[in-house]
Amino acid sequence: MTGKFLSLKGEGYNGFVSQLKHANEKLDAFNFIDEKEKNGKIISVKDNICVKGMPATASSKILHGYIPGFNATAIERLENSGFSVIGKTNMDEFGFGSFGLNSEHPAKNPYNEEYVTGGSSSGSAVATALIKEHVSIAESTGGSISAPAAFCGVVGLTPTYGAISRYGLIDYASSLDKIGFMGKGADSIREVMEKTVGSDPKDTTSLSKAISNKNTHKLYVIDNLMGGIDEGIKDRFEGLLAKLSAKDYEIEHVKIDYLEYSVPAYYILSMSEASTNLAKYQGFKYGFKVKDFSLNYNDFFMSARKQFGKEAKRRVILGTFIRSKSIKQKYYEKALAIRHAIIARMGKILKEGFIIMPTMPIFTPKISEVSDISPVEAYSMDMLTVPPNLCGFPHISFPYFYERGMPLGAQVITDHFNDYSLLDFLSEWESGFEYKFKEEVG
Amino acid sequence: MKIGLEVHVALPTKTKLFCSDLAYENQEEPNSNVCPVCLGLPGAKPVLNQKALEISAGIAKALNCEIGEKTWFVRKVYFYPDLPKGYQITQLDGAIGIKGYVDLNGKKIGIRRVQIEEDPARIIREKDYSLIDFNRSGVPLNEIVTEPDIASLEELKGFIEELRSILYYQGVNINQELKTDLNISLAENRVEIKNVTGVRNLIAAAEYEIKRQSALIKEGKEISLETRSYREDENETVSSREKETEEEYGFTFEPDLTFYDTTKLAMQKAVIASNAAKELADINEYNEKTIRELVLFNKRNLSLLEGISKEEFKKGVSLIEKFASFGIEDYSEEEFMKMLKRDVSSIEKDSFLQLLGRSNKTEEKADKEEIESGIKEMLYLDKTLLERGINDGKAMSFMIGKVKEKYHVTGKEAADFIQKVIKSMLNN
Amino acid sequence: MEEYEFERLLKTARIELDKEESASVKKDINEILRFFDKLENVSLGEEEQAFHSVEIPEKLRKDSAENKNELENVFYNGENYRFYFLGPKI
Repeated sequence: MTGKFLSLKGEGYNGFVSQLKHANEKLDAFNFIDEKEKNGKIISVKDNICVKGMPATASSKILHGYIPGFNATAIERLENSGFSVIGKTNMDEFGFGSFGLNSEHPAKNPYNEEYVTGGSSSGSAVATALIKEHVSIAESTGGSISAPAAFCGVVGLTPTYGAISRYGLIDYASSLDKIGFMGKGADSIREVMEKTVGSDPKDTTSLSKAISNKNTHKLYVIDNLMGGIDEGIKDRFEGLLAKLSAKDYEIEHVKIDYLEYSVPAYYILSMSEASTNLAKYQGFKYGFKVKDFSLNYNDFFMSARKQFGKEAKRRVILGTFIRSKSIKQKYYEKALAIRHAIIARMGKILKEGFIIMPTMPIFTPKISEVSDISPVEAYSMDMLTVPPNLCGFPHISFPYFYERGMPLGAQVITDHFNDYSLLDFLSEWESGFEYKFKEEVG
Repeated sequence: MKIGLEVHVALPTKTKLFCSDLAYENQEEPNSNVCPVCLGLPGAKPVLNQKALEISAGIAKALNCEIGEKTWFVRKVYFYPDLPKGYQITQLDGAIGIKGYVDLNGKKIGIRRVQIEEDPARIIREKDYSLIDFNRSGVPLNEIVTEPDIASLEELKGFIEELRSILYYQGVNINQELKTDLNISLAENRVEIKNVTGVRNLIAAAEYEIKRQSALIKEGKEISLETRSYREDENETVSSREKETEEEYGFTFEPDLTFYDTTKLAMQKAVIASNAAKELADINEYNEKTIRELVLFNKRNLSLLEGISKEEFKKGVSLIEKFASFGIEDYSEEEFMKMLKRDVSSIEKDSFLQLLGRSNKTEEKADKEEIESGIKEMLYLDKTLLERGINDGKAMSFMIGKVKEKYHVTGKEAADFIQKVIKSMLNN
Repeated sequence: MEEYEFERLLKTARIELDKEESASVKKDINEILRFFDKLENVSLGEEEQAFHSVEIPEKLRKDSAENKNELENVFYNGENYRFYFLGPKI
C-alpha cells in the first residue's frame, strides 16, 4: 500500500505556501519554510536533521545562521525517492524537553492554542496535524515523537534504534537518538519508513537487519507502570482495552522489574552523552559567532555558550558532573546496567506479544500549567515514553479517544526490528476508528 | 630516576581515522582535505578505518602487548580551538594493546598501553587570533604509553632508537617528528613536560629537566608536582598551567562507534592459530614448528588434526604433507578421513589421485586474497623473516619460494605478487 | 553539591551563569541529583552494561578516498583568512 502525499504545482504551490505561512504565524510549527517551488511529495523535517541548503538550528540560538552543506542520509534517500522538504520544524532546543516549551517561540497546540504541543518534536506534530496528507520526519531520544503525537492527535512511529541512519542528525544522545516519523495514518508512514531504513556506510550504528512484521493479538499491560498515571487517563485507557478485547485481542497484566528506574537511568545516560555532544559549540566555525577573536579561547568559548538555553545549560553541567571520574560509577555505570536489565526483561515479554500503555500519564496540559514546574516534575512525565526509548524498542503512538475537543494517545511497543508489525496493528485500528484531525492547509 | 613517555606517532594510512579524507597534510592549501566528520560539523559521524586498526594491532604486537578480543573507543572532553568536536576520540580501557614491553639489551621497559586516537587540527598562534588548518584533524595516531621504567638519559636514548626501529618495521614513517609527553621524577613528585616535538628536543628537554631537578635536590628544595613545557629556542622547561585533569576529561564510551573484534585481524589470526598449533603439538608430543606451519598455511588443517586421535596423529600429519606435496588444496574432511585409513606413505601422485577418486588435473591457483593474508600472517609471526626480507635478497627469495611451494603457485607473476605484498607491508 | 564544586564544574563545562541563573540552576541540579540517587537502592549484582540498546556489529571503512563525505563549501559557515579558519586567541 502506498500513502497519499501533497504534491502541488505553480499557483497551487504558491497558494499553499502562503496559507502555511499564515497558519505558522499563529502556531509556530516551522522554524523555516522554503518558498521555492518543489516538484515532489511534500514532507517537513525536524530542525535537528540536516537538509542541504536549509538552516539547521535545532531551535538553539547557538546554531543561528548555520546552513549545512550536506544532507542527512534519511533526507538524501527520501529526495531520491521523489520527496521534497517544505521546511524545518520547531522543537525543544536540541531535543531537551517534553512539552515543546524550550524554544524561543514555542509551537502551539492545533486543537487549542492555550495547550502545549508536547515535545521535543513539537513542530513536526503540529505540521502533521495542520497539513493535508502529511508526514514529518522527526526524531526521538526519550519520547520526543510519542509525546507530541499524543498531545496533537497524530500518529508517531519511533523505529528500532539503528534502523534509520543518524548521519546528518544533530546529536543529543548518540546511543538513544532515533529518526522517526509523524503522520496521519499507517500507509504514508510505512512508505516513508521503507524509503529510509537500512545500513548507511556513513553511520557505524545504522543496521542492515531486515525489519519484520510478526503480528500478534496478545497485549501486555505493565501494572507497575500504571501507578503514577492520572485516574481519568487510566479510565479512558481501560475503555481502549475493552474495545481491543472485543476485536479479539487478548490482554494480560504483567510486572517488569526495574522499570521504575528507567527515567533516572535515561536522564543520566542522555545528559552524559549530551554534555559531550554539545562540546562542539564554540562560536566560531558555524552558527552563532563571537565577534572578538582576541578573547582568550576559554573566555571566547564561555561567551559563545551563553547562547544555550537554560535546560541545555542544566544538562551540560549535570552531564559533565556525572562523567567525572570519581562520580562515574555511581550514576553512569549504574544506569548502563539498569538499561541492560530492562532490555532483557522487556525483550522477554515482547517476544510473546505487544506492550500497550497510555502515551502520557496526564491529559494535555495548558501551557500555563507546566511552564513553571520543576525539572524533576517535568522529567517524571516521561515515565511511559522513556522505557521503549531507553531500550531502543520500536513503538507507535496513535489517537484513540477525544475528550473536550482534545485527543488522547496510546502507545504500542514491539520487539527490536519488528517495526512493521506496529503499522499493521495501526491499520487494523484505523479500520474501526475515525481520526478527527484539525486540518487547515493543503 | 624514573622516566615515562607518551609517544604519538602518525600511522601510515592513506586516509584519516574516521573519514575518507587523505591523511597526509596537503601543504599547498589549508583545509583542502576536510569533510563534515573531521571538521566536527553537527550531524557528522565517525566510521573506523580498517587499515588503522590493523596497523595499530601490528604495532601493539611488536611492542609485546596483550591484545584483548575486543577494542573500543572513548571520548576525552577538553576545549581548545584545534579540537573540532570538543572531544577527542581515543582509547583507554579498551585500548588495542596493553602490558607490553621493549627489550633494551636485556632490560624490559614496560609499555602500559598502545591506543588509537585522532590527531587534532594544526593551529597557528597569531597576536589577536589563531589560524586553523583541519587537514591534520583526524589523522590516525598511536599513543604509546610507557611505564616509568627508563632510569637514565642513556636508556632514554636507547629506548627511542629501539622504538623507532620497531615502528619502522611496522611501516611507520620514522622521519616524522614524534610528539612526546615526558614524565620525569628524580624525587617523589612527578613533573610532566607536555608536547615535545622531535627526538632531539625530547633528549634536550629531559637533559635540562634532570639538571633542574638535581639542582633543586642538592639545594634541599622540594620539587613540585607540575606540568611544564619545553621551549626550544631557550632550551629550557617552564612551568605551564595544566588545563584538564583526568577527573575532568570525563571519559565515556564513544556511542557513535561500537566494539571491534581483534581476533579477525590477520595478525591476531596468526597468533590464535599458532597458540592452537602449539597446544596440538604438546598434546600429541609432536614437533611444534611443523604443526604451526601446516595450520598457518591452511586453516582447515587445524580442525582436521584436532579431530583425530593421538595414535593417528603422526599419520595425519604425513597425509597433509602428502596432499601439499601433490598440490592438492581443496581436500574435504571426508577425503581426509578416507585417505587416513589407507597406507599412502610411498604412493605416487597418480595412484594417490585415483584412490581419492579424482582425475589428474592441475589444481586451481589459490585465491589472491588468501595468499596475501597467508603471507601477512606468516610475517607477523616471524618478525626476523620480515627484517631479513627487506635487506637481504636471499631471504626474500627464500620467502617467495616458501610461499610458492605452500600455495602451489608458479611463474613470475606469482613471485611478483608475493613480493608486492611483502613490500606493501614494509612501506605501506 | 558544594559551592566550590559547582564553580569548578561550570569551568570544566565552559558554562558561565549570571548570579540569579546560578542560584536557580544550582538548586535544580541538586534536586535532579537527589532524583538520580534513587538508583542507589538498585542492586544488580553482575549485570552487564548496555552501551547500546541493540547489538551493533562492527562496521569498518576501507582505507580508500572513494566515497568521500561531500561538503559543498568548506568556509560557507565560518570566517576564514587565506584558507585558514579564524579562531580565538591561544
